Amino acid sequence: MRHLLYLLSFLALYIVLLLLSLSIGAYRVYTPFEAITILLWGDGSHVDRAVVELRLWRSIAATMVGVGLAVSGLIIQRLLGNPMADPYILGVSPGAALGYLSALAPGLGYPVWYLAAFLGGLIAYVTVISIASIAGLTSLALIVVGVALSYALSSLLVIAIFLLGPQLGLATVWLFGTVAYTPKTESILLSVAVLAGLILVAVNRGALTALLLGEEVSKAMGVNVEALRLSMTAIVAFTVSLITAVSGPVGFVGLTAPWIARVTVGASFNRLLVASTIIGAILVLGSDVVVRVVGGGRELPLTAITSLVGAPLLLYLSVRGRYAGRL
Amino acid sequence: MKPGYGVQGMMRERLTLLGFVAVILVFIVGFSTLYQAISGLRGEVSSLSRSVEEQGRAIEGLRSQVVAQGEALKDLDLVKRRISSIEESLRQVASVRDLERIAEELGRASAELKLLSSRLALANESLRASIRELMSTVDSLSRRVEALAEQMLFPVTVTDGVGDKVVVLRKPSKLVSLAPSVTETLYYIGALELLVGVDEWSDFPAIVKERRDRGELAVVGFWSPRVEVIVGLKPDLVIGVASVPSHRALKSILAPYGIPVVLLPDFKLSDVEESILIAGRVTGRLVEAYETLYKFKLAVNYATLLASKAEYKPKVATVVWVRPLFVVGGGTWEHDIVEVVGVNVYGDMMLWPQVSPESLLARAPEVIIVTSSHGVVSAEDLVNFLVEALGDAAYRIPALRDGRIYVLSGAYEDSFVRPSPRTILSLYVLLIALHPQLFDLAITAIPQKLSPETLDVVGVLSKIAPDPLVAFLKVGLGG
Amino acid sequence: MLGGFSNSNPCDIRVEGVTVEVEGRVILSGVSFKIEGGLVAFIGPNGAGKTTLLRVLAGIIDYSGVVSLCGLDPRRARRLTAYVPAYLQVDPYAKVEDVLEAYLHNVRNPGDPLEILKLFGLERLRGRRFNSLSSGEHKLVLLAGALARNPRVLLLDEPFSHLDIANQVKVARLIREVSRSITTVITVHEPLYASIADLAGVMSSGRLVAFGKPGEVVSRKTLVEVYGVEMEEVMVGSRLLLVPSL
Repeated sequence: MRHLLYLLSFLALYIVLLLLSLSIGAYRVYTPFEAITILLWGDGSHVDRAVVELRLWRSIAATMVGVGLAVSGLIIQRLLGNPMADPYILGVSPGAALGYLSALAPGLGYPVWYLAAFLGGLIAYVTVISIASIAGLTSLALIVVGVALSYALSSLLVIAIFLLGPQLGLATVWLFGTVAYTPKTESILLSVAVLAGLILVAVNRGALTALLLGEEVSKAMGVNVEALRLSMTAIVAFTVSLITAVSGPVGFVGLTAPWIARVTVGASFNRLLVASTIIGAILVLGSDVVVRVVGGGRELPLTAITSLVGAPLLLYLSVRGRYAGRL
Repeated sequence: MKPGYGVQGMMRERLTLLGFVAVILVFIVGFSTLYQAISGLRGEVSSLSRSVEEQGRAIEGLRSQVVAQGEALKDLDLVKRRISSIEESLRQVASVRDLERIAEELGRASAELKLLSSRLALANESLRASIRELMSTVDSLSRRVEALAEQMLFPVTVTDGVGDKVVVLRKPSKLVSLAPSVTETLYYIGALELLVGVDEWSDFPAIVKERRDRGELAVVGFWSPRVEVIVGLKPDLVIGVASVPSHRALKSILAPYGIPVVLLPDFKLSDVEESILIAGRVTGRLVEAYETLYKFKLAVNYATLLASKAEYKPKVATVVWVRPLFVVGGGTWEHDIVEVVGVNVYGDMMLWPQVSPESLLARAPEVIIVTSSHGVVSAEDLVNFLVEALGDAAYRIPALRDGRIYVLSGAYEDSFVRPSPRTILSLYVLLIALHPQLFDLAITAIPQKLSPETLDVVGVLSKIAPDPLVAFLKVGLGG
Repeated sequence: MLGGFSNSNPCDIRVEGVTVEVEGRVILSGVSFKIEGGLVAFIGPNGAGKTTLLRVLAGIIDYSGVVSLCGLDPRRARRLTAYVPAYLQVDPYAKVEDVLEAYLHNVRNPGDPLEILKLFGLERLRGRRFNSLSSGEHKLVLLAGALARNPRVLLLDEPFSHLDIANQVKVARLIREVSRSITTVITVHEPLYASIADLAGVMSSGRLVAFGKPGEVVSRKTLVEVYGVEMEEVMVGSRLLLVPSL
């Protein structure tokens, strides 16, 4: 069946990218075979082992960022019935950035920055939910309030960056996203959170499948749409806040991955879930590999690459074949 | 037995023997006396000759001093002649270029005079007097140059750091500085008292911070200058830096108010030199500018000379932030400074690239310099981060293995991160930290935290460097 | 024809004094009726509250009053009901199978929607994008999905709108057949389709003006009152039709 073929090829692509990710880096470029033997059987020198292990954690982080963002994007698009929705629509990204920057100023240690970023994202989300619930917590309310708050927070962010001054200005480059600084601890944290979110989503997949027919019909079938909206957006906010705190905002994945999934495997939620996770992982891990290949030792903002890679891909898939002209 | 030998004969024999012994005794005594006398003489001779030698050496010393003096005197003579020729040219100044040339020569002459006066340590009153006289001549000439500058130089058109031609109509009496490096440059050329407005980060010299805190100096902002405050101050000139976008925008914003904006270039070490001249031209302080420039160049050259005596220039990485990891790359003045005393392993990347822990492992710097951003970043942060990422393999990085991580803080950090003449201080700090053996210091004597309290650069240098150079460095410390 | 739906006791629906207020506006006021199986059609002008009534029965809307389906509160009865709105727009990339699959949420023993599609004669629609179907196919697919829930109450909002005559006939026949074993409530605009039902209700401005056998209730007098338009009675064969006079 065509869908199965797509899924398998995505999986294969991911595995290839994983191998590349283990092999390529600033220290040395190994062959994939070497990288595997170093990782699994401890061949090679002490340094080789440390480097490949570092790359492994980096790959895991990249994968989890991709999975987290893709699934969050899928949920948001499903819940809000809006294919243009992005997980950052809830104001989480500028909220997390503000949290991060406000923790920088007094000169605290780095775990505080991550915590502040995470809390910033959650606070933004809670604000959106509270304001939207005045209007009844409908999808439209969420979109409108979310977008409005995002813009408001982004302007605050610009002001904050201005006020920080030259010395701390460097840290704001974090705002463009990178997985280069996620060694073991951060990667594990990220994985646990993303996988937990994934499980919670999978538990609700029946309700989310029903949501294809719109809120009314789902409600008539027994789906508690309000509760679902609340719980799912909470999961999205939590996951995206954590991802943003650890790796900075990585744009475009949350929007594109579910789209690519939909175009290739259709709108059945179960298939979409599986496909989105793999595609999200491919997008982010692939972009990270590109960063390492092209950067020449220099780290580049991940968002730039995900957009460059994802946009043409999405365009191509959308306009070819049967669906030509019927976007 | 012969008859007649008898007792008389025996007595005669005994007498002869006695006589023999007496003669021998006399000989011995006489000999030893003589010997003593001779050795005494010899001692005297040698002590005499020693004192003669000493005298000879003293005379040599005197003579070499005289020769040095003679050379210094020759140089003094040269300077004297140059100064009088400057005086001559002053009378024939026709164009701004002439004036500039004169200012340059005068600046050099003044600096050389100070250098000379340290060499001529003799208490020869007449020499000292003649030097004092020359210095006062130089002073009065400088004032004449300045007066001329006021008339001739203004209106002046300078090409500033972004390549714009800016016109300054008259010698400014009210200045606004938008950046710490600008404030410091103005200080060095003696234009500090013209400031009426300053940014919130300028803190050197201390008087600037005091006056700002007391409200005597308006705060106009660094990243985003407050236009209304600036306009309210009615300054004759606003000086910013080329690298800040809002400063560039300020040019067109302040143009309708007739306030010119000059931007000093701040990318490379050579930009520091150009900035000094631009600042000098727009404030009319040409002589001071040239003098500062000369001293700065001299200091840089001296440091380069000292560094060339080192057997090996270590590989250096300069970290400015840990999470994410930012380092100093090429095309920056920090890079230029590091390259005098070592090799910047990230010199092939431009500006301040973000890198991964792997790349530190790959480029294996032997020394890591960390800028503490006023205490926010520490060496522990860096080490912890690298160990987190790479485990024990982090210690394969030579700088970690050998414990050669140095954190610049306080005045040493400020002078490193600001492209003003003060940056020469950081050059010498790094020179001492990276090549302690040149100063008879052990590597272990260099503390991890490099600040004026922990490493007395001035003290170390005053042992071997000429006084004026040390004095120039002291200016950077507020002395 | 649709032999699979043999629920022995069709559900009864009881509605007493139901009032629905949204943002200060009264949409339904004091609606009461009782059904014991079969097909019920509600007719009335736009905005009379027909759709709202259906939504109350589906358990989607808050109301005051008493409603019971098979003795259950509408919210509890969701498992037993299937609701088909007048028009549904879904994700453009959704296929017919996806829509059918989505309809099977929260059902104890669902039927096979594809089988039902086959029964409708529409298995050629498999693999097609849902939004590319014609209105008739649209409605039939949704109906197939609803039926696959094996519901005991079927709620169809305007099942005949946007359909051509052939499809209208098809749908009418289907609904008649189905309503033999499943209590079916529909909303209609044509008096003709009200007449195929077992019971009919006429609604106007949120009130149930008349309820009973279609022949009696859907009379010329009532319709003229409710619609404010002149109607004519026309005999076609043995059937009495009410048509507006143009």
